[in-house]
Amino acid sequence: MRFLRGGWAICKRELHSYFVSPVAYALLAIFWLAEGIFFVSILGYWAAQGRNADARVQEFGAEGNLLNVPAMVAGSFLDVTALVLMFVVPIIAMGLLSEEKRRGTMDLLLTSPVSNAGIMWGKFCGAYVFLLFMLTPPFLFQFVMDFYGDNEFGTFVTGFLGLALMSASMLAATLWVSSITKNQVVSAFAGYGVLMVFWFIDAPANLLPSIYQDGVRWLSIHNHFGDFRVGVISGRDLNYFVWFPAFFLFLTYTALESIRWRGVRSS
Amino acid sequence: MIHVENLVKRYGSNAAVDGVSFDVAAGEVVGLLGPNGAGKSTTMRILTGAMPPTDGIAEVAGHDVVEAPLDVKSRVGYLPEVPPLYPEMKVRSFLKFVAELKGVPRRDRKARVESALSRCWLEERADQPIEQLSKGYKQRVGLAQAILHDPELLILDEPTSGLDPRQIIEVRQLIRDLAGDHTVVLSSHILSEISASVQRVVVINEGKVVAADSVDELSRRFGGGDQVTVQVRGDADALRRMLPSLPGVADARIVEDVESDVWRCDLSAAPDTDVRPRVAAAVVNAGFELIGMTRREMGLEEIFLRLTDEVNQDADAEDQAA
Repeated sequence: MRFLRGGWAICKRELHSYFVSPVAYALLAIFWLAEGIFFVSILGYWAAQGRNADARVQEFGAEGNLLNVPAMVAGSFLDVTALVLMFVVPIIAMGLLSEEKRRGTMDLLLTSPVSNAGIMWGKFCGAYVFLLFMLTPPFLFQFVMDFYGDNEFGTFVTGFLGLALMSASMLAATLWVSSITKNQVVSAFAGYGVLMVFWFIDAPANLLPSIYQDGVRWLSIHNHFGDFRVGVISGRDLNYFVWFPAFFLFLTYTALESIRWRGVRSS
Repeated sequence: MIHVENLVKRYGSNAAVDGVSFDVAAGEVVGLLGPNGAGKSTTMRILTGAMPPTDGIAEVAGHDVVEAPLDVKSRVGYLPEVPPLYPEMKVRSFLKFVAELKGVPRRDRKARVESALSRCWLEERADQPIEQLSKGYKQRVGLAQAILHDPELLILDEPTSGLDPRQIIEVRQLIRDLAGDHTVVLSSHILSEISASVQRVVVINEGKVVAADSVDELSRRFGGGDQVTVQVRGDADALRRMLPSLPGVADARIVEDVESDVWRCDLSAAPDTDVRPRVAAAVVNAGFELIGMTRREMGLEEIFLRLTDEVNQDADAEDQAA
């Protein structure tokens, strides 16, 4: 593993640093609390809709449709979680490389026998494991609901797979932003900027000449999440979730190369 | 151990290092000396492999920093001006991380960490978070981090800057201890600092080497001889006639009257001569009273100012000629 030299050590340190950081704990608390509130209110809403649907079926016979409540809850909850992640990921990623530059610890990495790919990979993995840890309780909410709701587990499992892939893409993009900034706050806000561009890029698609429309829709992150959400894994979406992070990891790698060649001046 | 030849580093059009050459033998303790912004840190960073030079050669133990960075990095321990510490980590786990990062084999890690802790007198603080440590302790953690993988060469950038006098003495002692096993290059802009720790000085100014020699040799070459101050009671005019005529005295001035009829005279001796016995005998024989006499060697401080002034004057002259 010469190519990723140093990656494992950096990954472990990064992960460890989240668990001693007050910011990370605050983020965990807020995220889990918000997810819990969203889940309960979504569940309450669809349960009520479900009861209404039951009543209509009993009243009008076959003209009413039974609601698949767990599927509805899963769909809404996954949508909300995806949106919340867009605000969480830049905070998780903001300090990954910018803080190393500001604190001067980049010098330690640069003067150690560690490759740029190792630095990039270590940072990405550390933050990604933390993100997956954050997503565990929301996953359990769904799991418990489906367990008692004797629903098929397939839909929400693919939904969470979609969330995991999407957050990897968001993380790669914001890691790159962190690699070109020297200030956490700037990094976080620029990260929001980049993610929002890729979230809303398909909004004006209808206004564009038709040959560009497909391309612009393809670039949008949430477009590719949609299929996972309804239990479909398509090659087109997988393709996107491989190439999108790969592109930003490549940019991060290039930024690290540039730091090595130009030399950071620690303040 | 170090071979640097015509090293150049440019940031845009501005040359931070402009043709620096010097060598350091294994086991030597060498100081890089120069005002802030002279190019010391840049030179050191190039030697650690933290960044490549624009031009020229930098080799550590025969390995080029650009061609064989991994061979260089495994041989160099580096303490930057700001010690590279993760404030939230505890000292011991930070050092464990560095050991892994530096590629210390797993079975040696524990022993290396403990030995670095004990060599830098950090055992008592080993389980404290770094952010809670004083500046002096942080500097020691920085040193521990640098010696962790037992490098042949230690590069320490301003290791005592910002410390209080007691911490300076401790760190200086620590460097002296480490010097036995390692080649050490350290930098400073505080001149008295460096003379206490090093055998040889490379003076850098505006990206160029202006002098490289042992401290003694530098003071001999640039400082001329000793400066002797005598205090004498007697007639000033007679003194003024007598003192410059003494053999071995290059220059003599009566500076001030300390009290009534006691004069302080500054003498410059010719190089390599101790004029004190001669001056004492002459003063007493001539019927003056000798009140006091002190000798001081020219310090690095003055040599340094002289060297950098010379360079600046040359530059000014060139500017005017152009």
